[in-house]
Amino acid sequence: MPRKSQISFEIEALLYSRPIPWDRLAGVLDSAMRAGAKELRVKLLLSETPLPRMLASIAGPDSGRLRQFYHHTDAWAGHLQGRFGRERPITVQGSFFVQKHPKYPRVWVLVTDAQTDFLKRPLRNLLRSLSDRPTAPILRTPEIATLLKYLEARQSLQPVRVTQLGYRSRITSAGATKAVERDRKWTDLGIAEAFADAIEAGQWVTDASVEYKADGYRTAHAKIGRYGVFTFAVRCGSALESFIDPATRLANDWYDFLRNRERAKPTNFRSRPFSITFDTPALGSIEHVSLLRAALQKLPSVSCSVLHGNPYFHVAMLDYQDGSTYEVLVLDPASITVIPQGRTTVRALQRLCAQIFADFREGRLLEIEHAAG
Amino acid sequence: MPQDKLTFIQRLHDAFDDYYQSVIGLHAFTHSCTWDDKTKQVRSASHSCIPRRMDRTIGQETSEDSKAKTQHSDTVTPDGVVQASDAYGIVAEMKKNFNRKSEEETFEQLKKYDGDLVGWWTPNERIAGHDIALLTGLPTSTAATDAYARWREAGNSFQRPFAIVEFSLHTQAKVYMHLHRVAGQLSEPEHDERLRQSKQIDVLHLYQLFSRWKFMDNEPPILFMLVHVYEHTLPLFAAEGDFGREGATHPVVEVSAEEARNKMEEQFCRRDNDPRQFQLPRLAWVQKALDTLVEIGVASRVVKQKSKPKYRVEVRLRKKDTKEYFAERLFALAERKQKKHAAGEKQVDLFPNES
Repeated sequence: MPRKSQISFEIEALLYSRPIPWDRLAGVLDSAMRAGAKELRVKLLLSETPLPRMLASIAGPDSGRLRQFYHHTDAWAGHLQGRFGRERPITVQGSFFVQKHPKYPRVWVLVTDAQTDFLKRPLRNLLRSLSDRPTAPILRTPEIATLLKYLEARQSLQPVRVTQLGYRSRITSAGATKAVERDRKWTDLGIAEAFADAIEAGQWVTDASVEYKADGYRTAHAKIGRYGVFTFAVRCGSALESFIDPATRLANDWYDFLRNRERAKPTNFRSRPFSITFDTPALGSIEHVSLLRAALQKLPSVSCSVLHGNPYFHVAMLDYQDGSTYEVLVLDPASITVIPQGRTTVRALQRLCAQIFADFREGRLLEIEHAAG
Repeated sequence: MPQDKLTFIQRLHDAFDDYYQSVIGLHAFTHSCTWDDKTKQVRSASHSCIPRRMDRTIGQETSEDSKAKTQHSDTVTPDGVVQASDAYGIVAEMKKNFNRKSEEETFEQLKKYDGDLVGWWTPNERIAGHDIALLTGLPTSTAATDAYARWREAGNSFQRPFAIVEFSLHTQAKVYMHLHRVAGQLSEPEHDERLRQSKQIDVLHLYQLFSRWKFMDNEPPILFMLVHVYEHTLPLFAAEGDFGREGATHPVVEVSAEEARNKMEEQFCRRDNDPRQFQLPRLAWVQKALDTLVEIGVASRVVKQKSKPKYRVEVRLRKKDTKEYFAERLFALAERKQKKHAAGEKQVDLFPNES
């Protein structure tokens, strides 16, 4: 039985010693799993500023919070640790690498064999501390379903079963002060069936876990999270190859949709509003609009000034994380219009959309068509 | 004397709404005048300007030898001027809350547009014919119509076609802007008939109206200026990286009134390098807003030698709803001023457009 340190050494050698060519990524990650990695996590990040440059600028020497393994123009690897907790501090640490997607240069793929806590704590804090903070894409329910179907198509005759579904749904009880409830179900359903049930029940999926056969016989697990986090257990090659290219395309499209909407000189200071459109009249009553207002006011570090409440809803928002300003307008019971103003970053709009999806309802992002008279 | 807090703040909110809806209503009407229902597009030869400086011929003198004629003119500034075609235009005046007490002044003002106006988008800046429109909100359209009837009964009339158009926002599943011609008549039969039957400005266009246009020639209420200066303008003077840094202080900006005004204009007003177009917002409005920020303790003045005074503001989250925050601070300011007024000092009107 190999020692734990030997397993770690092999995994580190496979994952963090040198950049991995894109066409070999799935194979290398599978090798890492065969070498003993229990789970691998792949996170998609969006950044116009090269992440390796930012990480290299803050990495310390051999010891310290962030330690660099290698730095290339389009790739970086290192080890990160952080201490958490006051009374009984614990150290959470892990290694990771990040490299640019060859086709979508704004999409960066981060891979780590560390546990979930590593992503949620030291890694999240690290990314937030970067001078040009990267953002994460948001994968909507139909997009998560589509990615899983790619895996199903690849598996041909072997089934892919949904084993766990995290979701949110609207609370319709009279007198409720919360708009949304969260739940999770453990199940054994086909992909189409699991998502059809969710959509029919008015739910939107935040994460989905599946079980499938890897190498023809081995039961492997994969999970897709709304914010572009993929978790693989046992094996990952075929799942990764099924997900990664369409997911990075979706992430790139997400970024492209949200960028360059602010008032700027090149567009003669014309804003490019967009709508978040729902399949139902989610804003068909004053009560519903109040729930949206409550969701917007929960955004941390964002002021939400109600310019008008009824019969139309109009708020001015200022995001104090980067000085972004935009307005949110409701003139239609089935959509929210977002009007970017003088400075509106992709990050600020992503935060807004994430908050609306999390605490109000998931919707589709659409361009505002030409006005009618 | 400031009323109780609730009433005072409600007045601030009402004035805010009145102004903003007046801007939207004015732009909606001018859009309606330029819209071609057949092609479903804005007419390519149309122009509009809110507000616009026009010259009005008011008389003519002939010299003693009957050879030289001198035309006298003055300048008028309608709230909105629309040229629907090379031969037809409309001059609009906005009175959202039509005031019976000043109805004579209103019609006198409109009468000034009832002549040969120079300043159209034609080679000689003249046009074959133009209409005059009075825009008013739904609650006071009857008062406006009655006032017009009284004015006519007194022997007055317009030479040019005149119409009163009421506007209002309605909800019927979606929100619509209604334009309804309630008196008089406009020259274009199809457009006039649509307005007579109550025209709905579609929600798709309302998005454009709400997203860009914030000002017209009337002075906005102070709460309106404070919100738009603080939320939309001042943050633009700080770098993106100055916000949200861990452990760092909030960004501090130093701006002059001119700098803030220019920034607001590029964001919220159209500039076509047209000498007849006004600079909006006016410098005095922005100056007053910045001075008020000083008075309520949100800004301080920075006076440096050989340069214009600037205002120093720390841009930080003061309260979740900035509009509510400023409303409360204005009430506190009004209370302080009321005490000073009682002691004989002059009080500044926070509601300049109310009468």
